Order: sequence, then structure tokens, then C-alpha cells
Amino acid sequence: MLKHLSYLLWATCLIFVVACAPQSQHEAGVFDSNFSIDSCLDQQALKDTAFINMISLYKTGIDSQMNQIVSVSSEALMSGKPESLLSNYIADAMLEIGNQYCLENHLAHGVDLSIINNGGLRTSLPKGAITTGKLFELLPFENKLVIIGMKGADLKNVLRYLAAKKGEGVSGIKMGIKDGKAVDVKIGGEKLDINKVYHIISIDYLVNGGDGMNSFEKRENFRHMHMKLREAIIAHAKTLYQSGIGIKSELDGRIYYEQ
Amino acid sequence: MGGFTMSNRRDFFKKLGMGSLFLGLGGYSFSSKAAKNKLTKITLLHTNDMHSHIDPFPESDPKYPGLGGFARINALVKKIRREEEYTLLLDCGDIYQGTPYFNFFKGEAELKLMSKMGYDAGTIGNHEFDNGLLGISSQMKHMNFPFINSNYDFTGTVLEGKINPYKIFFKDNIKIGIFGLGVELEGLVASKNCEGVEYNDPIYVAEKMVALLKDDEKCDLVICLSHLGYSSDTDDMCDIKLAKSTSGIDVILGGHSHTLLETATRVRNLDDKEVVINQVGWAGIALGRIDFYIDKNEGIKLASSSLHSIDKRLEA
Repeated sequence: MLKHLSYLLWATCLIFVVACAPQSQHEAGVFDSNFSIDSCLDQQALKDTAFINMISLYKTGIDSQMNQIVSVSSEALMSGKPESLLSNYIADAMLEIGNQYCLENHLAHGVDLSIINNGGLRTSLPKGAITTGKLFELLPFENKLVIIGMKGADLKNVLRYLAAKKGEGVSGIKMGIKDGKAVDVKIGGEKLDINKVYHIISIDYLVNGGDGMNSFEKRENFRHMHMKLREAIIAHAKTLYQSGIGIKSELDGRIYYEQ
Repeated sequence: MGGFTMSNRRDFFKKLGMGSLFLGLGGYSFSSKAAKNKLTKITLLHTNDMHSHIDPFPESDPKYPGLGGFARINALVKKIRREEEYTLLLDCGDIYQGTPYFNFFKGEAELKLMSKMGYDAGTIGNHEFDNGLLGISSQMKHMNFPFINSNYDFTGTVLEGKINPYKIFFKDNIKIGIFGLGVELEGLVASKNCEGVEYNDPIYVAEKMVALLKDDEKCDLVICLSHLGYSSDTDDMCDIKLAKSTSGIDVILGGHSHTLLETATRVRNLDDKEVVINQVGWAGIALGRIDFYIDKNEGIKLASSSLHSIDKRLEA
């Protein structure tokens, strides 16, 4: 009901394009109500030397460490659902890190699958040189790696979570998502065995119920690996790069939507 | 949303009393003296989810090549402040976490730089809790603007008394009330990092804030700094739901969902009045701007995102 027309005269949204240069290729059209922050502001920005100096104060302290090249990526990796180049890369690396850890610690088992939430992957990796700083941006959190053992029957709760989330970063598993449920699940190429104990490498944040994940509660065993995900990924990428293997990833249908 | 129809365009210019002057004057800075009744222009500038992205994304970034950067935002804000008399610069949370600046300096760099940019207020996002409550309280000495949040109860924690439930700003003769709403922390923030913080229902709290700011304090403009997220495909709390389920809020500046809105959204509230909702992506890739023209005597408010390309738009 319009009691007083004038009272709610938010006349309209008079939108402007952009303050300075034309909107070039950066997702043209997206910014037309708000200011795009891009290089056309640089000339003006550099005039405030006190501000620039304050940034430099912090930047110079960390640049030498952050600008180190860890590896080289053959293409741009971005995250997405149900699977993506970026989430597959991180999940595959985690599976290798987990198996390496089990081997080095003479454990009687390896890891069967890895799980990382897409929400934990905070930026994209560009094609080309990947610096330490970029991997800090990708994995800024101080999350630590853990391995948990779960019976197949209990693992079903985790799979339900993955399906409800429309997919997360996984490795070692292949599954479809149909009507919000996990279907045609294969782990290590085999059908899920409800009596077998599976070992999963993930991060403490998820295992402790972060991102709505509360399916890890029923478990057989739990192990802290005492390393941060970021540090483990940096070390893994560095080692591979030293033997000539850069960062690469592929989509292989490990998680898919079934019609 | 907020379509530009002939009728409301006419009303807009009639109220401004200078429609013809407006036309073809892109970038024209509106002078309130020219209007018959005194209209005060209030310019709201806002960011959200800065996530420690002090430096711009490199040109090689697949999603945001060459975008963002604190120094650029600083320059743009200063430019607008030279042009506009009454501005407020506001942030909607998640200043923390996302680049090595945060891992190494724990928020000091972001808060000092944002203080230098002249932020008037900010709200608390879930990532502000990433280093626990001490991670907020210990860094607050680096900021010269207040954190505003109305629905987290910090009683008995190190943050008790340090977070403003609301704040009132005066610009010209206009009284502006700002309150803040944060997202449910359970299942999102590690429990040890938000121990002792009680989350209260945003709609319930918003109603109390409106009663205080609009009815008791007689604010001319009520702004909610939200870190609830823009929309939800389930029935979860979000800015759209908040706007529809309450009355008395004029603007919701949002964050959390990293939503980059092309134009501010307009939603009808419980009283069938329009609420303007805006959010500008994340990492400082954009600066939001909403201009209000307020006639205090008649209670009239006109909102526009900006005037810079008004001429171009009118030709369409």
C-alpha cells in the first residue's frame, strides 16, 4: 500500500558506468553500477606517497619469501562444482601426501580418499609461475592435515555430505550425485564395503565440523599429521617441480551429476 | 530490479526540481541549494570481503586480472570526497584472511591502511574470528574507525564493550543510524575461535535496532552493515530475507557471499517500502556507491547509485 507516494520515492537506480577508462575486457557490464577498481586509478593512487609507503612497509618484509617460485602451472586452475581443475589438483596432491606420510611412518595402511572443501580454496592459480605467495592466497588458513579411519557404513554419511554440497574436492573416489544423494560410489575402483575401514585424509577444520560437515563423528581412528595443508602442498609442489614435474590437473568425472 | 520507468523518472526529476539541468551533465555534482526544498545529498561508499587483498590481482589472474588494490580504492575515495560534501565509507566484514599480509601481520596492515583511507565504520565478518577473539581485540589498536555489530553478544569475552551495537552519524542536518548483523558462527567458525560469543537472530535484532534508531533516535536514514550473504536458495538468513521480513531499514550493505551486483537490488519490506541492497564482490575489485537525496522535512529519500553516466542511461 502506498500511503504517501513521496515517502517512498526511491525514484530509481540511476546507474553509471565507470569512473575512468572504458570497461575493457574485465567482465564488461558487471561493474556498471559500482566502481571497478583497476589500473586507470594507478596514476592517482601513486600520488599518495604516504599510503604507498605504508603498504611498502609491510610488503618489503615478506616479498623475498613470498615471491619465490614454487612450481609452474601448465594452465589456469579454477575451483568449481561438481569437480574442477583446482579442487582435483589439491585433492590429488593430498592423496599423494597422505600415502607418502603413511609409508614414512610405517603405517599398516595408506589413504583411500581425500576430501577438501571448495570453500577452502580461496583464489585461482594462473597459468605459469606459481609463487609461495600465490599458494598462501589459495590456502590462507592455518588448517592442518588429519587422517581418519571410518567404516564403510559410516563413510556413507560423508558421501551424503559431499552430495548435499553438490560436490567438493575429492580424490580416490568416483561417485555420481542424483537427487542430492551419492550414487554408484567406487573407492579405489571398488564398490563401497560397509565393513571395511577406509582412511581419509582431510583437514582438521572439516573433521571438527567446519563448513557444516558433521559426518566425521563416527570413526575408528584419528591421526594428526602435524603439518599445515598449505605447507604440505608447497613442499609437494616444490619436490615435484625439482624433478621436472609442474602443476597439472584434469577433469575425469570423479564427481558428476547423474540425470 | 529497480527498473527505470518513465513515471518514477519523472517523479525523481520533479522532486529534484531541475530535471533539465540534469540531462546531459554526466558527472555534474548536484547542488542542494538549487532545489526548492533543501535536499541533502549523502554519498555512501562501501566495500566487503576485502580478505587482505592489499595488492591488486596480477594481470595473469584467470578471474580478476589486474583488479583491486587498496591504494587505488584510497585514490578513488579521496577523489569522491573532494567532489561530495557528505560521504560515509563503510565496510561489511571479512577484512581478514586471504593473503600473506594476514598470515604475517595478523590484520595490522589491513586495519592501518583502512584507517588511513578514512573508513567511518565496519562490521565483523566470520573470518575476523580466524585468530580467535584475541585476534580481533589485539588488532583494534590499529584502527581508528569502529566495528559495529548488533547480533553477537560478547558479554564476558575480551571483546565485551569494544564492539558498538550501533552508531549515529550526523551529516549536514541529517541523522544516520548504522547497525550491523553478522552470520551464524556455528558450523562456520571453529568453536574455539568464537568461544563465548552468543549469536542472536538477525531479524529479531534488526527490529530492535530499527525501533531504537528510527523511532527513538529519529534517524533520517537507517543503514544495516550485513555479513549475512546476499540471497539463499533455501530459507537461510540473507539480505533479501532480512529486507522482506523487517521494516524501517533503508539500506542493506552486504557481504559474505562475495556477490557482485550490477545494480543495487530493491526489495519491498513489510511496510511495502523499498529497501536498497548492494554488495560489490570481494577483494576490493569494486567500490560500491549509493547516493541519497534527503528532504528532512518531508521525509523524502531518493536513491541513485551515482550520477556519473546519467546522460548515457537517459538516452536508452
